[in-house]
Amino acid sequence: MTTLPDDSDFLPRLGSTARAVLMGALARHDLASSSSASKFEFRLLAASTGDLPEVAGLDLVDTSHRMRLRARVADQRIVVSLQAEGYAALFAVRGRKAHLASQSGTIMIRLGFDTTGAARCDLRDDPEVRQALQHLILLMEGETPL
Amino acid sequence: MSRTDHGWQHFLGHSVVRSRADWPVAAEVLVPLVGPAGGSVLRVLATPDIPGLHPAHLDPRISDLLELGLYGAGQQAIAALRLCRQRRGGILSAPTLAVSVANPGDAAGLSPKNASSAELGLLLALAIGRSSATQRDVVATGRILMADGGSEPQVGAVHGLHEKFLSLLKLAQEPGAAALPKIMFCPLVDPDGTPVATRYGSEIDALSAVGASVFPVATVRAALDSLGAETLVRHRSESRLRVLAVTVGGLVAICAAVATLVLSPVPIRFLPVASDEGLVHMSPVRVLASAVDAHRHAIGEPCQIDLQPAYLIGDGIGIRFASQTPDRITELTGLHAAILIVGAQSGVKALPLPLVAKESLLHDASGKFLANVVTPVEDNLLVILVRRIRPFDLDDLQREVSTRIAPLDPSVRLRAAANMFAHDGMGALQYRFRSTDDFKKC
Repeated sequence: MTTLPDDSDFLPRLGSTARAVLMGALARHDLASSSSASKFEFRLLAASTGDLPEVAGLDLVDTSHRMRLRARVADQRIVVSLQAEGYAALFAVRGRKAHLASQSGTIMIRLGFDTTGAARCDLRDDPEVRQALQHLILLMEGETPL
Repeated sequence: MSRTDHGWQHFLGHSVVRSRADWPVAAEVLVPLVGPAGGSVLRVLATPDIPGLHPAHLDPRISDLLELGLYGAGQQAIAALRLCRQRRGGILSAPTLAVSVANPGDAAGLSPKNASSAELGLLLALAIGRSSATQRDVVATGRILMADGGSEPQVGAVHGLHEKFLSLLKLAQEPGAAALPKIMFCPLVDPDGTPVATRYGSEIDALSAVGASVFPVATVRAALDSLGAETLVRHRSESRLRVLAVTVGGLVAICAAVATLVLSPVPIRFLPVASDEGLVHMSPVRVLASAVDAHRHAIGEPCQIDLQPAYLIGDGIGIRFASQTPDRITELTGLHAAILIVGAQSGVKALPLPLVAKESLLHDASGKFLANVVTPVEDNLLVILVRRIRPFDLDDLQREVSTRIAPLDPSVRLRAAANMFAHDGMGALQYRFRSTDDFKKC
């Protein structure tokens, strides 16, 4: 007569396996979507009064939530810092060149990401550029690494 | 990375380290570089943000440059900066600065072999940051050549100057880009000896058109002098130190002045008194015995015996005195007076003072009193003592003077007492007289 194995830990092991499979799938999906990313878009909520956006302390996350943009004013310049967030985004942008452009065409700056996924550029501080900060697009150069 | 705020630190409610963006930038130098991947412009920042000790014990001022392949260039810059000998701006040393690259992502393909043209830029970032120069941002490219014997570092020629000028022009002409610094330094000549100003005239003109004036220089000193960076900035704490020193010095000076005024001798002098008949006599005056009893001011000059003023026993000595130089301190503190009569035979008598004014504190810095002349017949020394702040303890005063003159021969007691009060540092007015019972002479 055969006996069934003790199945008292069957359900916990099944749950653990399911979580591992799910996390792996999510990671592969995240990496795949980031690897294909060549564009990050930043949109500032439109001001109801139509005033220029406040640059000091400006902190934006792109529409895919993988790139953060911060801006501050220093010596009549607007210093824009970009930082990839998460390993997938870092893997996608590190060591690559990119163009930061505004929808209006007022801004078109070439910059490079370092190994920590950070980049920086300096813009002139005038009303036209401030207005252009409301809608920025970061376009990566070259092939996205797989 | 270790000096960047992390999310978990905010989550824990405290910020252990400071973000680099929070540190003030003491100087910024744009360094155009040409690598295998093309031209790029580095932003070299000099900040007071000194990194922690590097595992390889690198110089913390330039250890951030290691990953970019610029550490060797940083070493050369620091060595040359030491030779430049910027003048001290104050007593304390100028603050220490570290250099870092704000846009390391733009420095692709750099290595120690092709990074020597950044040496001048790294040096200027440190030099300007620690100086009192008003121009805090420049563009610079050039090697640093150090001759033997510690002479002035020279600016050596670099390759790819054309590409570097073009990189700067391209950066300046990008839509929305910030303006270039107004000054750019470069070597005086190209590697083949051709003057830079001659060969790259068109590029220099183009840079001038976008607001950057190009200055070819032969030495590092020339660049520093043209920026006014030859003197180190004064340490931030030095201003506070000076204010503190001036404040303490001022307080000490005020205290010393007040102490000097308060403790200094009060010069006093005799004042004239007027008789009922309208005659004015310079005190001390003789107040006749009958007048003393009758409370009348029958006064006159004392008689003279052996060229010395003499008073009959029973008469009074009327004295009026005042401070020679009334001042605000005296008005505030008032004066305390004591009258002593030292007899050559009878010893010291401290009179209850002042007899007329009843109060020893003379708020009007003047006083008057009437002393009775009593037995025995002898030479006397009348001493008026005046000082500020503290009243005299007459018993102590009398005891002290008695102790010092009692052992002496009577013939020298008055002289000894006079010397004692002359050197005591208090205001003292002395008057020698003789008490006599010779009605014929007096």
